[in-house]
Amino acid sequence: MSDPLVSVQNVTKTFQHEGRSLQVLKGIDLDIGSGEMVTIVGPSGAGKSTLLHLIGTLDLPTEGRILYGGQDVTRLGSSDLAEFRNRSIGFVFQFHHLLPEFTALENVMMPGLIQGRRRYDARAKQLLEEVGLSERLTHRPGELSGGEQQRVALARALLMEPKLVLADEPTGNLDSQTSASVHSLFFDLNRRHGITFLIVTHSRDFADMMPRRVSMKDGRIDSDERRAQPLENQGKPA
Amino acid sequence: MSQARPLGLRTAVLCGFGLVHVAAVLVFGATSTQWFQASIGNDLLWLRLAIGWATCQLSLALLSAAVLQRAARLPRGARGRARTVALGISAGLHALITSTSVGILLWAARVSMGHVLGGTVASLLFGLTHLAYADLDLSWLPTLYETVTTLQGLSSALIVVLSMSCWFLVPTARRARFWWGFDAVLAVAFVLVTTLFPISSAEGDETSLLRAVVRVSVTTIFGVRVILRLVGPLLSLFERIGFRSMVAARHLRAKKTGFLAASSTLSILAVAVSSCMLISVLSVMGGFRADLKKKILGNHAHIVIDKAYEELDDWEPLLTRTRETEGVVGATPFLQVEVMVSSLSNRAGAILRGIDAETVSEVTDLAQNLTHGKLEYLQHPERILDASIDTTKTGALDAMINDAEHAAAKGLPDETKEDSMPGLIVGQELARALRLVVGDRVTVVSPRGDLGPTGLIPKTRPFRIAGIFYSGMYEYDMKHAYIDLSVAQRFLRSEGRISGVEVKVEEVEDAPALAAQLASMVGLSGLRVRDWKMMNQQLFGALALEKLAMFITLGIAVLIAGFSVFGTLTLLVQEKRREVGILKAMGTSARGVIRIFVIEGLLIGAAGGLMGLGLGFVLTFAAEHFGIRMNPEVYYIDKLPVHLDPTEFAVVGAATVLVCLAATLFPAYQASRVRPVDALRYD
Repeated sequence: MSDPLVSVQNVTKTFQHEGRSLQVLKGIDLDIGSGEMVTIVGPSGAGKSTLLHLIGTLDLPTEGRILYGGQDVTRLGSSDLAEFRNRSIGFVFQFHHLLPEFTALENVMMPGLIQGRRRYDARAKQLLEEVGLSERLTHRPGELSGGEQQRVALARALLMEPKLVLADEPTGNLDSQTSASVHSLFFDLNRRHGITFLIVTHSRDFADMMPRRVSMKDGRIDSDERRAQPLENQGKPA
Repeated sequence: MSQARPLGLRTAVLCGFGLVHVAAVLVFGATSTQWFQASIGNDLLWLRLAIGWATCQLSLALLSAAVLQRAARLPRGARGRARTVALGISAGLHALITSTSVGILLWAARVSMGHVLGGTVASLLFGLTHLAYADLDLSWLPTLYETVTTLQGLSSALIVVLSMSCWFLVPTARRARFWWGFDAVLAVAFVLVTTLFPISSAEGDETSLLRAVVRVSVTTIFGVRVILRLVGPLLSLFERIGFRSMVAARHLRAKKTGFLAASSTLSILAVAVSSCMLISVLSVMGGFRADLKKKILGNHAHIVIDKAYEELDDWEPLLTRTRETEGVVGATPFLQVEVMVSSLSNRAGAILRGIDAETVSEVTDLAQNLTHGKLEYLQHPERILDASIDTTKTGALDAMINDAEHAAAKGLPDETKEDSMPGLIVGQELARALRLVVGDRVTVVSPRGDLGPTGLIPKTRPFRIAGIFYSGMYEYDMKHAYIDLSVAQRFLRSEGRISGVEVKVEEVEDAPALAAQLASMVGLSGLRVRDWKMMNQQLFGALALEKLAMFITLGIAVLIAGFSVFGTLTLLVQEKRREVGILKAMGTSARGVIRIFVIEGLLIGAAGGLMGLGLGFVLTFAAEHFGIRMNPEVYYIDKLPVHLDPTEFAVVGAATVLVCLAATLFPAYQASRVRPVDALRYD
């Protein structure tokens, strides 16, 4: 295997709560290769979301390193980190987290706007078309359904052509039918554009479809299974 | 939108009628008695007026009943039912109160037609003054009218508020259509008044004043509408600048939760009101300064050349040389001493000035300030009596006194007239204190007396009043008297000597420089050269200090408005916490977040500041052009002086923006510290 895209090395995370320290991550080692689709499963409180936040540089680990292509991002300053997040990582959250004052198109363009460039107009439209929302460009998030909102969030995550898209229970808030269509969208994007996905999910169906499944338990990695599934079968229930 | 049904045609008519009614009360109440003066002598006209008024009340009452009936048929809890009912009730009450007052008035008029009609009908109708009832045994009437007027005012306010709140029951589309119509009419009106009406009013002409007021009002409303129409496009344009301004503008535009919306509106208003107050007060104080400066420069010379303790002997060359200096417009000699002036009834101290009547007009405005008499009488006092009746503009009593004087003078032998008393010009206040009119005789007592057997005997000499001036400065009008220079020299035993030379310069602000130049020219001959700023240093110093104190005091008001911006932004940051988290997750740096909120605060500040400065401009402009009357007995000015200074507008604007900027910094910093993990975790 070539150099991994992300390499999490011996990461721990301790939170201080009312004077007591609470160790949420107790030494995690994880490598994710480019173009992989990885899911993290596990019971509530296992530290899945925390790990995702650390990988997404939204938070810093107490100990350990996180390397992106050999570069330790935990040592970057806050504005460099912001710049790095902007270019290299896309987020999809459980509650879409779109900006309510902006239209779907503007929301998708937002990472590009943060960069201060406007040339993402065409790409944003194309991405919205790809997630099946070409008719909803000027709608505000409040005027979209849950599934549509999550598709917009996905399009937004993809705008800057990130190396890695992190998704925290992307379908946790949707009914099963809508979930299924969003799931297949993930696989579709992975297959067509080779985007690396790291997805935290509680959905057994979704987890079962994934080629690599990392189980977490009590702040540690419990198991890391890869399934040799033919590429063309990905995205279809086994 | 079936929810908006409560506003039917009847309610709309009632709203419109009620507003017109309230406007009528305000206009009639504020109009001077003059409007009704015509009807006083005309009973029939007055009766018609009262009947017309009563008819208005009746229709208002009927309309309110109709609205109430309609509102009663609406289901309970329907949107707008409560305010429609309230509107109907308050309009009905208003009609009742007003018609009662008109009824009592009619009765009072019938009881004592002669007495009442001696007053003014406006005051009768609205009980503004109670003088008309002073002779009547209707002592309870004023109290009743006060009560009724208060009630009327309250119900008027209610009608205005309710009509405005009913406005929001109208569907948005229809409201937009109304505004288009309104704006179109307004634009036409604006073009009309701009081309037809003058911007400033002629003195004392009520019609032109009214036209100017109408023009300024229409222009103001038009300006406000234009700005309101431009806000949307301007914000859109602003959004195009970049990501931060886009987010900031969207945050401000977005529908907020009720409390935050109220808070941001209030903070804009707070900034507007405080900056408006600041600029208005500064303009008025600047007006006082400009007024004072004008008066000082009109009465005093710009530069005075004199000696500290003695008189000037050989002054002709000095005068010539001064006149030849570049930048000097005129120069005139004067001799000055303190004297006592006594008339038949009274006496007062005064500064007596011997002036050269030929050249004094080159330097001061004395000739223009004369309200009675003429400057030439100083040299030709024999003409005073011949002309005093023609030139005296005062009332019947003065004319009568002059008549008597005139007759008396005619009776005098001719040689007495030839050897007449020299003329004396006094200020208006001195004339009032000594009860003098042009042609009167006064005795001036000089301290430079003869040495008699018992010591120094003050020298006295009779003078005849040749003129009365009004300078606008009380001190001046009370303390100054002018006589001819040669007469003064003889009277004061200073033959050939003067106290000093008064100089007028071309550019008043250049006076200090020119004074220095003159000082170097006259050399070290013991002369001192003082310019007007130096002579009035304390006065202008005090004014400047007062202005600074005002700026600081009212600046604190702006600061407090800044606190409300602070509060609003803190709330906004709280409300937008999640969005800040999202923006940061997507790669907005902390500095970017700070900038977003600073821009929002600045937008609030700029909106408030612009509103305040605009309102302040309109207010001061109106005060400057239409004049706010003041009691000259108290203030010695007949209208409020206002001076618009663009620099001050700029300073107040800059101060407002700076205060708002300072108010944004901390909330913006707080926003930048929001950690995306915390903001996104709990939902």
